[in-house]
Amino acid sequence: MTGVDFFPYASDKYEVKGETERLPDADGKIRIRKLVSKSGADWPARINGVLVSKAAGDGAPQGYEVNLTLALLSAAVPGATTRGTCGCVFDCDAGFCVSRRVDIEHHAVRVAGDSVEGARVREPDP
Amino acid sequence: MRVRCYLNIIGIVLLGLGLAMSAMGETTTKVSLMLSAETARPGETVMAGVRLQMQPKWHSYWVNGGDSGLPTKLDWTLPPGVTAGEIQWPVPEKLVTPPLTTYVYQDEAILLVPLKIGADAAAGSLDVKVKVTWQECSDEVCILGHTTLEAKLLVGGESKPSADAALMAAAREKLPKTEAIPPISAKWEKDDDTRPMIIEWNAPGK
Repeated sequence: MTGVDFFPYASDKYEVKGETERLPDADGKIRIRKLVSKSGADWPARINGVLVSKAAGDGAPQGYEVNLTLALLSAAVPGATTRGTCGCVFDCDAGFCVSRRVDIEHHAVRVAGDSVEGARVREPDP
Repeated sequence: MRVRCYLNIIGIVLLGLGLAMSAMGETTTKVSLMLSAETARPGETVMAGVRLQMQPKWHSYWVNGGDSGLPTKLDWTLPPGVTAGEIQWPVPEKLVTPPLTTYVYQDEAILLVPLKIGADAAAGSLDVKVKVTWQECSDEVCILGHTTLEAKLLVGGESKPSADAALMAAAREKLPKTEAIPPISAKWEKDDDTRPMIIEWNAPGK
């Protein structure tokens, strides 16, 4: 496989830049990096497009229709706190997150630019 | 004061007209309409194909033209009981002409569109008409072209493929696959004004 790329469908909420950076394969996976900018307030949770791979030679490129689901970035932001499941939250530092149990009041929260349906954290009574 | 205002308006109109005429120059792309069937039964779906044959060094655009470029647009005029679906776009090529990146078709592209024939469609000859508007560009100039194409489809008691059926079957092979997609995941790499996104999927055979 010589050429891999991702061709995005157009959106008025974000733009996927044309440049594609091929990263070293890892764990048997092909990896590429694309840059995304947003037009609105929130980063997209889904990006649709066509994954393209081209084998060596004159063969036609093979395309796959894909809907990329992007997790919120907040879990990897140092110092961020985000909701886990069943009364747990994750405290994140340098990309690592530790879960802890809390009581939860439901509110919309905004973390690292992502608008999410989340929870306000209240520490349990000692 | 009012006279100057009118002159300004006339100037703007003439300028706009001049720009429009330069954008509507003589096109080089050959555009044709084909149908997958010569005869079809009520309730069936026939594929229509709009074939764009570009001259060397010219290209037309994908549904997302990229940094510049307008996608081809199709406006159908169909008999009652026949409805057109969305355009199925073949996989384009990426054309990088710094600082612009565009997604294009060179040489040839066949845009496929399903035409659904109503179950109660009467037998007889149907006129299928489509107005095609496309942008074609070379390294130096872009031209906006348009043409109206027509084809006839017989509705009857049997299905019979057209002479273009094989060409259209080959065009279908150039569409992005919607099945057997390799497991793929994506994630944000870090927060920034422009966010890097990592996409990864299983290499073939792994």
